[in-house]
Amino acid sequence: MDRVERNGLGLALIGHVALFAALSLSLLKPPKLPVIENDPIEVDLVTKMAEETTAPDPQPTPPAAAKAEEPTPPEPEALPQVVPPPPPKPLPRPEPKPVPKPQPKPVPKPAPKPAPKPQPKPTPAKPQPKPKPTPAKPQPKPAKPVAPTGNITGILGGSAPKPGTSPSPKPAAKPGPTIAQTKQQAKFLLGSVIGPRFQKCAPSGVDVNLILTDIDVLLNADGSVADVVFIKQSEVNESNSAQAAPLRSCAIRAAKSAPPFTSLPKDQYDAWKRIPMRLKVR
Amino acid sequence: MEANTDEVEGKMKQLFALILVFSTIGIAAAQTVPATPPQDDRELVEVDVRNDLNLAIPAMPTPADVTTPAGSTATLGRAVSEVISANLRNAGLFKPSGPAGLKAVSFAEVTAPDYGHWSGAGAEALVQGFVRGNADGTLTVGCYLYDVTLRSELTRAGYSVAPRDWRRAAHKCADAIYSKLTGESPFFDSRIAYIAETGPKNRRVKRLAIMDSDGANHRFLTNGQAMALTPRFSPDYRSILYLSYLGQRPRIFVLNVETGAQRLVTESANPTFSPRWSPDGRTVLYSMAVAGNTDIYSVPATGGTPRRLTNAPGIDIGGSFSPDGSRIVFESDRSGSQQIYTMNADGSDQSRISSGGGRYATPEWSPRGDLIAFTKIAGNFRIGTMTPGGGSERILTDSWQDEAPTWSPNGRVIQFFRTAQGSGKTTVWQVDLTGVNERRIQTPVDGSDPAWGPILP
Repeated sequence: MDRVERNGLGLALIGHVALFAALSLSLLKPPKLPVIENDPIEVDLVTKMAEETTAPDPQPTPPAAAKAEEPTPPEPEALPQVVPPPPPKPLPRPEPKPVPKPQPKPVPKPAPKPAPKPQPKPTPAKPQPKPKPTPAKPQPKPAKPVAPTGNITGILGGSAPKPGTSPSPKPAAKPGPTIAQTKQQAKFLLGSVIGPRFQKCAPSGVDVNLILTDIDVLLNADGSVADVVFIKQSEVNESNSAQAAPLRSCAIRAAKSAPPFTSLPKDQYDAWKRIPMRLKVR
Repeated sequence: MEANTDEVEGKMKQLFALILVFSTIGIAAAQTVPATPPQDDRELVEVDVRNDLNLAIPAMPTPADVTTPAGSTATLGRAVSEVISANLRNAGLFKPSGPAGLKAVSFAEVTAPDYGHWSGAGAEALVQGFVRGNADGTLTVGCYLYDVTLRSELTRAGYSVAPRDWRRAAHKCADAIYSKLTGESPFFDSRIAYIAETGPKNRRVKRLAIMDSDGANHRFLTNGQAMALTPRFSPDYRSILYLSYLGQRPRIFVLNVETGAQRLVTESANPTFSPRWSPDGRTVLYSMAVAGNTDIYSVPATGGTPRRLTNAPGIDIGGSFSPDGSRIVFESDRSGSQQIYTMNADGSDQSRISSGGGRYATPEWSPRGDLIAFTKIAGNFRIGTMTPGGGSERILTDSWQDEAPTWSPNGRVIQFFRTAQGSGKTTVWQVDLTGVNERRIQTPVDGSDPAWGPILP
C-alpha cells in the first residue's frame, strides 16, 4: 500500500467516523418536505369519441420566437477607434461590459492622416476610472469576480477576464501539453535519435538480446546532453556477459553523441531535464 | 408510527448517500495513482544489431623508414594495416575500410587524429598506429582505436616483435580492437591445425597441417605416409595430439610443432578414435573398440595405462572436456541412436542431454563453458549448439554435410568442415556463434578436421 492509497483510505475512514458522529448526534435531520395536498377534481368518463379530432389548432403556425436582445459583440477592429470607454454610470446593477476589449496593437489606418495625432490608446491596463461612490449603490470592487446574472451579458461578465488581468483579445488559446505529455514526447524524441546510434555500436552475441541497459540522459536547458548516467544492466548471464560492458559503453556513447534536442519546450524543462531510457537489442 | 418510519427511512437514505460520497472520495483519492507499484517509466529503445560499424584503418606511418628482414618499416606499416583490416572484416561484425583509398596519416597525427576529416569520410571509429624499427632490430607496432563521433580514444596497445613476427603484431592489434568493441576475448593471434587432403577419393592422402587463423604461414607437418586424423593443439601450443593410421594400426602421437619430433601416447590393434587433451594438458581421452564395444578411455599424456570411463553396450566416442576439466561430453548410441551425454571426468554420473529429433555426433565443449557444439544428423549434417544441460538447441549451418565442429579460443566462432555432395571435396569453414558470417577458410588443398589452438602467448 503506497502513500496515496493510505491517504485515500484514511480520508474515507475519517468521513465514515464523521458521518457516524453526525448521525448519532442527530445533526443531520431530513429536510422537511412540503406537504402536497391534492384537491379532488371532478372527471367525466367519456365513452364515445370521434375517430378524428375536430378541434382546431389553437394556432396554425407557432408564433415567431421573440428575438432576444443580443448584445452585439463589438468589432474588434473598431474597438480601438472607439472613443474612450464611457464614464461609468451609476447603474442599478453594474455589469461589466465586454466592450473594451483591448487590442495588442492599434490597427494602423490605411489612409495617411493629414496630421498624425497620437491616437488615444486603448487602455486595457487602465480600464475604467473608478466609479464614484454613490450612496445609492456601491460599485463592485474590480478584483471581485462578478457573479453571473443569468443573462448572456451576465455570464460573459462573470467569466470574461477582468480588464487589466489579461489583455489578450485572442480567442482562448489551445491548452499546451501537460508535463506528462511533454515528458513522453521527450522520451520518444530521445529514443528516436539515440536508438540508431546505439544500433551502430551494439555488439552481437548469444543472448545479447536479453540484456537491458538502463541509462539516464541528463539534458541542459538548451537541449544538449549534459551527461549520461549508467543506472544498471539486467538479464546478464554466462553466455552474454562478455557483451555487457560493450553494450554499456555503446549506450553511453550513443547518448553522449546525440545532437541538442532544441525542439523541447523550454518552459517545461523540468519535464525533460532527466530522461530515463532502457536500451536493448532484439 | 408512520411518521417515525418515514423519518428513519429518510435518515437511512441520507446515511447511505453520505457513505457513498465518502467512499467515492476515498476511492478517488486512492486512484490518483495506480494502486499497483509504479511501472518502470523508462523509454524502451529496441534495435536490431547491424554489425556495420564503419572503421577507418589508414596505413600506419613510420617515424623513420628502416630496412628490416621483413621489409622496410614504411612497407610494413601498410601491410600491418591490411592484416588488421582483413581480420576485422572476416570477423563479420564490422565494416572496415582501408588502408587502400584512405588518406595517408603522418606520424604526429597518430595520437592526434584529424577527427574532422574522418567524420566527413563517414568513419565512426578510427584505427591508427605506427611501425617503428628499433636499434636492437625489433619492431614496435603502436595501435590506437578512436571514437570519431565522440572524438575520444577508446583503447591503445603496443607490441614489440621480431620482424618475422610482424603479422602477429597486426593480429594482436586487431584483437585489441575486436575485444574493445565486442567484449569478446581475442582470437586473431591463434593458429589452426587441420588435415590437408589430396588425391583421388579411394586413395586419399591425409596430412597434418597448420596455419595462422587467417590462413597465412601455412605449413605441412607430416608427409602423408601415415594417415593423420583429428588433430588438437596442446594447451601450451607447443604440440599437436593426433591420430595416425599406418596401415591398419592406429597410434596416438604428440607432435612437437617446432622440432617435428613425435612421441607415442598409445597404440593398439583395436580401432582407436578421437584423441582429446584435458584442459591442463596432462590427460588424453580417446575411444577404442574392443570386442565390438567402443568405450572412452583416459591415459596420461606422457603414456601409461589407459583407464576405461564408459562401459555401456554400444559405441561411446568423442569425449571433450569442459574448460574446468570436471566434466566430459561424449556421444553414445546406447539408447539406440547417436545422442549426446555428459559425465564426470572419472566416468561417473552419465546422463543424456540431447532430446531433439535426429542424431547427434561429435560434441565439443566451448572454451567458455556455456555451450556444446555438435553435428546434427537429420537428413543432412548440420552444425549446432546447445547448453550443457541440453537446452537452447540452435542449428547454425544448413548444407549437405557439415561436421566436426571445434571452437575458436574465445568461444565465439565455430570451425567445421564441409563435404561437397558428389565430389567428396572437403573444405574448412567458420561460422559466428550467432549463425552469421559463415565463410570458407582458404587452404592450399582440401581440408578437414580443423581445430583451433588457444590464443598465442
